[in-house]
Amino acid sequence: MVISVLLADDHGVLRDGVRRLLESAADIKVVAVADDGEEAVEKAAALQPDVVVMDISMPALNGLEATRRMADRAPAAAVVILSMHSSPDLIREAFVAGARGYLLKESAGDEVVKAVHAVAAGRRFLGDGVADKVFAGESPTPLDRLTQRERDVLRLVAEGKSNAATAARLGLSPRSVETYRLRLMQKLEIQDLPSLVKFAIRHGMTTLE
Amino acid sequence: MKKRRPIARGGTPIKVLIADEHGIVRDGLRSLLEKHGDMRVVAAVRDGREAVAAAERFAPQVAIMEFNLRLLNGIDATRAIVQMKPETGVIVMSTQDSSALIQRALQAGARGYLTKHADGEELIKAVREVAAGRRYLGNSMASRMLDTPRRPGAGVVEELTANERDILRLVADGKSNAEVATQLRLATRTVETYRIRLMRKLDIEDLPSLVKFAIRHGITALG
Repeated sequence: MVISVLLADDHGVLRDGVRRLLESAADIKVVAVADDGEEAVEKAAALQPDVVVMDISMPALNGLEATRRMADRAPAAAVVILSMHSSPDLIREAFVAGARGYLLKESAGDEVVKAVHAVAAGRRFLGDGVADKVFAGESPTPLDRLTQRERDVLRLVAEGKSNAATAARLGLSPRSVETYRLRLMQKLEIQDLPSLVKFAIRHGMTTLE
Repeated sequence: MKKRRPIARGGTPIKVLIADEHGIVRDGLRSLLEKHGDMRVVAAVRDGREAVAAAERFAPQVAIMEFNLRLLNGIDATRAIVQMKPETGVIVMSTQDSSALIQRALQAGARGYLTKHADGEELIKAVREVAAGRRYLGNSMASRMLDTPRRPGAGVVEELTANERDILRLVADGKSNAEVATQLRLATRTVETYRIRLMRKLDIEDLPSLVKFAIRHGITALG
């Protein structure tokens, strides 16, 4: 049985490299690629692949949001997140969003093949170095103080979305977004937006681009 | 300047060194390159110091170097390799797309530059061009060098006035308009005007993007 895979990453060289690695396995076929989150969701909905391997930081829609939307639009697809970051928060968020696997880019290439096989067989997959992060006694990070909602707002604000756009994206009123924003800044002890953006970048919640 | 001879002749595969801190990228690149019979990966390393050591040991014709490397960054490693073995064709690869970075890479002796938007095919082309003694800057790079910015702010930092640059820095550091005004001894209204003009020049619409721009160009620190 051939496992169909959708590959989503805006780093073209990495995407083509991973494609090649996956296709060296006889039972894996990459049926489509995407280079932003929205395209990834659309293609997943259209093609209903068995597995989606997706970078967590992409333009248009980040990997976490895309994972959530795919849970609706391609419920049978098992999502494997690929990331440069291994903060316990991020890993947890990925699994809460519906991902079945999490892999660090610093791992070896054959981990991607293992991940695809594992999630296609219905198992979860934690790459090298990820399991340790999840199960070790976590040193509390400031992000721990935030609720899921607050984290969602933080991410969208740091991506440059207006209050209105953030509200629309999360199904809230602009007034609520503003309240969440004030509260999260208080919790993080951050006073201005640029510092908030820098915090978000350091914690892997938004990219520098 | 001495004309460089094509380096890969006859049936000898082009020897390639890969330097990137991510295993998935290293393995993926190796897989991509070795699909082609005329290329062979002689070393795949994870930091700048290993890159220099591997260049010395294996004398690759081409080195693909990520900009963000530990211990010794990609630009400094490029410089060291080119000084040691000037015939090495270094291609710097980066997830950032700034003309300032391209300049630095070329000044350090790189012969090629690839952004994350490049794909496998472009990579192969870059390796072949550079191995043949030519430069490779990619389509988007070439047009940027000709001053047609594709992304917000690309190549426009130089066009900012001194005041605008100061304002950019202070705003990206988190100062309010009033604080900027006090520090630069301007009226708050003036600061607002300059700020709007600055963002228009850079083709940037929101503050987070402005902050990210400032970080990428080393105008404000991330930490």
